[in-house]
Amino acid sequence: MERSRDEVRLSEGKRVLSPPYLATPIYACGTIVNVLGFAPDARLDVELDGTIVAANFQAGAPYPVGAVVPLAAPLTVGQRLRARQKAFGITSGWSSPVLVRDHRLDFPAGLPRPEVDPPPVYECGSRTGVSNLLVGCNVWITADGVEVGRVNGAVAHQGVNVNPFYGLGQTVRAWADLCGDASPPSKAWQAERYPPPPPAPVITAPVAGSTAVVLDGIVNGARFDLTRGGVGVGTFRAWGGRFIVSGISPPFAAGESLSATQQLCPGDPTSPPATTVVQPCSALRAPGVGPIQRGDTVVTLTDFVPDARIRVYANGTKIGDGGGPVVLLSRALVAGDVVDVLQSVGSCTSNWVQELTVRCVDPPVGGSPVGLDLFPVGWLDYDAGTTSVLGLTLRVRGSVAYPAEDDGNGQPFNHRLAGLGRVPFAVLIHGNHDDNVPNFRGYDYFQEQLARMGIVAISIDENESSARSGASNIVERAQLGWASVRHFQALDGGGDPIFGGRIDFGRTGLMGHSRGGEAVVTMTKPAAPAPAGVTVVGVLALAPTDWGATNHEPVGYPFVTILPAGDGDVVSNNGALFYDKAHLDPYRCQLYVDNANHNFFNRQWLNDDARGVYPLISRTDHERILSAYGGAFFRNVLLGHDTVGYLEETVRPAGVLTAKVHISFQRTGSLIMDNHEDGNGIGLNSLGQSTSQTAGLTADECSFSQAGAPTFNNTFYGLTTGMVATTPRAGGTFRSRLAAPVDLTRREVRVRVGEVSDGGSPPAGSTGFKLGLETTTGAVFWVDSDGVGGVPRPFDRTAGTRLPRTKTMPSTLRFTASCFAAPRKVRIRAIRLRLDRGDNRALAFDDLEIVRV
Amino acid sequence: MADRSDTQPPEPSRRDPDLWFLPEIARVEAVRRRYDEPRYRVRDGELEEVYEAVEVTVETSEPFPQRALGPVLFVGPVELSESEQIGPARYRFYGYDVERLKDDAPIRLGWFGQPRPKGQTDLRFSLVDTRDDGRGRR
Repeated sequence: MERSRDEVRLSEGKRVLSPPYLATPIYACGTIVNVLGFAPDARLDVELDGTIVAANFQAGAPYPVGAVVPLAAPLTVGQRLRARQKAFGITSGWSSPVLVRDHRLDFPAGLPRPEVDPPPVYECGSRTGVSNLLVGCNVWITADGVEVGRVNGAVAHQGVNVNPFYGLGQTVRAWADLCGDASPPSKAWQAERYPPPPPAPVITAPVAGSTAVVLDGIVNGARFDLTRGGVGVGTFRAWGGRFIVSGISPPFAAGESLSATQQLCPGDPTSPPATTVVQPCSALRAPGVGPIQRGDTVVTLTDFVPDARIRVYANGTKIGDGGGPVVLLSRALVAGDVVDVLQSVGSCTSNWVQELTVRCVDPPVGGSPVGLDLFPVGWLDYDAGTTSVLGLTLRVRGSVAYPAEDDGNGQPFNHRLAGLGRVPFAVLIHGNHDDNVPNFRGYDYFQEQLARMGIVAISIDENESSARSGASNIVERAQLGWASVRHFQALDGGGDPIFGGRIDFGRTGLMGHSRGGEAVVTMTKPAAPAPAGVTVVGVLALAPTDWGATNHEPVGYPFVTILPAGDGDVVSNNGALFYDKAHLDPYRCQLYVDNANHNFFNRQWLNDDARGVYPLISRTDHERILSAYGGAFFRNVLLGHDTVGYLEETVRPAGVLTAKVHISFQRTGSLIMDNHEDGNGIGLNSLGQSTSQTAGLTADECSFSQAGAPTFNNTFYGLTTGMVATTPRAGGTFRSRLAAPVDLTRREVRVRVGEVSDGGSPPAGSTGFKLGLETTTGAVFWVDSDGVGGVPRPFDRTAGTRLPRTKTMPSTLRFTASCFAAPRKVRIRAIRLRLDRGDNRALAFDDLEIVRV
Repeated sequence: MADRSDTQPPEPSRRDPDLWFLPEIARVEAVRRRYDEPRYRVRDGELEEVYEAVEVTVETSEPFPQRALGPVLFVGPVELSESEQIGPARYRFYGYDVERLKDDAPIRLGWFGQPRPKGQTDLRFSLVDTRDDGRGRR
């Protein structure tokens, strides 16, 4: 929250100046180093293999690009780079060294595919942004095959001036190379006509003392004129969206007027003018700060003035001093630290600080799991004739997206990727819907994302199955799914010009939605056996049904299910049954998504299945959730990438409403203290050790299901046994012993917990508990559930007309060992759960375990 | 300076189809049938061939909405969840546990996985006859 600087006591402490950091990874043959995180106008030293190769480099503004420091010679593998800054009479320490890598180890099939960013491009466009670049590469733009602009030694998102400007209808593409290794071309864009005049830009009023001004609403490739007090500052070429003019001298003074107009084609009318007035220093607010958790050594800013100096204080003492968006700290943060972040521009220091208390667990935001854009994408519709399924004659058809030489229908398979070996295979199956709609096309966005990573992704047309219902219909859909896979096996083995010898069916992933979600689990069961040569290595069930086609036990593969809390069709969220019974082979994951419905993950399914009774996140946000978590899952199971952190919630995907996503996750190899499946009663845990209930707490094992017994109430929709605890007064405690003392070094305690719903609207305010580690000496160290993200609120379903019950849906909380402020290497003998809110609300617990991290 | 801002209330919400709509039963006929070519059912996760079933053909006032869940026919307490659409508003439900279907049991429509609808019904189960289908009709 924002607090007045007068209310906090901030000390400069020792002469702290944060080291800057280098944009990584850094690859051989690059001729620049991109340095970030420094204070405005700092001077930089860059050291290469122990020798300073750039001294006192004038850094300029820290944002948006940072400093691009040219090197005298191209980098070679194994060289070691680091940087430091000098500002305010202080020289910082050196940044962590970065070793120069060989890009071919990371990208054996060639450089990632550049992206024209943002698109589209327009007639008379004068500058184009290109992203998805390796730092240090060379990037160029062609228009109708002719080079019109180039930057050698690019940053990750590079602007390229083009000359001549684009002509109407020209085909524009971006290209990159490094060490003579070329990327595929970007997607092709036709230069369109932008009807003049363009709209007025939007100028964010700078504050007095600033030397930068932010303009938004720039038309892609336009040139804009900026004036200050009526006098021209300059003409700037810009890619579309936001542009930051930096290095304005002298700094702005309050009351100055600024104005800007933009234009595309010379001779066309210019935009109306945008105007603003420089604000006084008192208008400078606190910066926005991203999540911070125990152990963090950086602070990431989400909103800040581009040329601001950013200072970070912990408990009143400065531990960081640099520039946005990331400031390195002089020490790691500890849970409970009060962090204040302050920005200043020139002589103007904000009167406000952003204050946060460091949580034990508040995962950082990482990149998008589907940001891996390596290859153009080819598309085909396939039709393999008919097959017999359960005595029915059904068509085998659908669409396939695959990594290609270029975008488009029937393009050749990407030859460089093919040269590295066979690629994995993803099978997508839609659910039951109006069969006049091409339902199988509804996941084309996800197919494209998978294909550009190097996965062949098919989506099967199962509309012919819509006439039937029942468990046999699920088996029918499953067997029809395998028929499509057999078709691709035939193409692969039969020398097909695109797919011949290309696909590794030993790495097959399945995703199904709705009835398709149950079908993909069925595809791993005897009722729908996989063809020879196919190994299922992961299954994602999106809002699956439960027609009874399976025994609910995904086994032999990692399993993920996504459950929309606002599902107006599969109102019982049957996927919870599959999660609860999924084997840890080696992990399972459940996402319960607030304000999501059944249909909006499929672009062809236009109706809101809940008919508007629940407020919904946008359709785009539904898709982003499937993309991010499905992408992380398939990258892990099909490509072997280390992306499980997104499912385990040690990192959050960018661009996703993660506050709406409540994750349950469990993996093999943990020490399970209690999963309540032992049938040994509440008095013993899964280790066979005693438990106890004190200070008024009452707990018992209950079926977390609709059909089992005993149940606590009828708001549980899973298929497991857990524990429900209540206490009439604060402090009631449940204690669970370990069989032998455990050292929690590099371990976490995890527990699945949910606020028990009574089926109605949840009461106001959240609830919670404390988890305590009891050491072998009897000392207990506590951490509050709020410090690790809090117990999620039940999603209120009472507005619905069908199954209006608000459900009890537990999710996993992670308590890292170092949160507990216990002595190092302490050994624990028991774990305690203390319900200390005094609100008499029941909590459901399950899967108490100790996990090695 | 003239104010050039636009404003109006949001668009009214679309009236999306009611997925829970249950049509009325206009006509029902139950026939016991044997098959040369088997039908299939799932029991305890296993696929079984079946060569005999009671087919309950229902004509409804309107089609069922297309959705993830499907229609079921209750014959007394017995739920027939295997079905297929054989006409614009014509459905055939399959009962494989023939002995559980009692004459004169009340007939109701419902949705799979949801509680049996309450209320009176005039429709009663009555098995017409047994037919052999030499062609193994599907």
